[in-house]
Amino acid sequence: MSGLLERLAEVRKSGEVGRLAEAIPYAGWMRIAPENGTGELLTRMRYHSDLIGNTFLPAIHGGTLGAMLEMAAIFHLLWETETETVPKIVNITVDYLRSARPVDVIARATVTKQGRRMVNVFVDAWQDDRSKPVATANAHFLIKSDADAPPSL
Amino acid sequence: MDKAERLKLFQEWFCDTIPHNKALGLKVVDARKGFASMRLEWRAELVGNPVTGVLAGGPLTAMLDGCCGMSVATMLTKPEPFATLDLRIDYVRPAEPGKAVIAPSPSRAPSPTMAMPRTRSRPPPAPSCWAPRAR
Repeated sequence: MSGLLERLAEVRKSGEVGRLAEAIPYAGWMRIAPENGTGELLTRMRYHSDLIGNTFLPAIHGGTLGAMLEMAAIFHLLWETETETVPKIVNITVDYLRSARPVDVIARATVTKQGRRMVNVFVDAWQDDRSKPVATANAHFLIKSDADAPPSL
Repeated sequence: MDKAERLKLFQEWFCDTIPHNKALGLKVVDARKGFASMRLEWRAELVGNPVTGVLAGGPLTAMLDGCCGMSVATMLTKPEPFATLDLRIDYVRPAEPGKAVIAPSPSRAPSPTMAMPRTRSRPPPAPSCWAPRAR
């Protein structure tokens, strides 16, 4: 994804971290973008009606929460680590803690362990109250170049 | 109820009335007791890597969640609400650009409180990821 790495270099100069999302069509479609928090990188999924999974509650679709947790981890790895390739997801486990109301969702990723090839990331997502997460995830990413990747990836 | 009626019912229930599934354009391929299958067409706006055209992980996550949910629904003896408790996805290989992805999702008989379906999605015919899940 050379487009994203070029965009990353531009964003490092300008500081407009939200523009990282412009290099990923799916992030634009989902309205998921990183933003500067207070001393930390946050990722926000802006609420729009296509995110709904349960029209009776109403609640945001669990799949979109999994998607934004994954995107939050990718943005975090791009921004906070000196990766030279776009991280490739290997697996993700999402825990759904509360139903997500039809408002914005914000996520924060932290690296639990960084190895030479793999990185383990924890992400949590909340809405109005950070102490009440709606979902959390643990994910592994491959951060070495393609030539070193196992054949299945 | 014959198969065509059943597929129409599940298409309306899970794809046409759930806004996000409708936005993704999910189509029910099969639905019978203990088994559900959905199809996700490749679309440019679902791409995660514009250089290769490979789909982002997110649309697959949403599809696998939806399809596992539908698989659980096929096992219910009476209509009742249920929710995803957790979802694990292993990415086995990238979905091929330009090709649809299909998620056949078998589900064993649920306990009174939990069901654990799993699925193995594939751009026909290679498996691509799987997702056990609870309600």
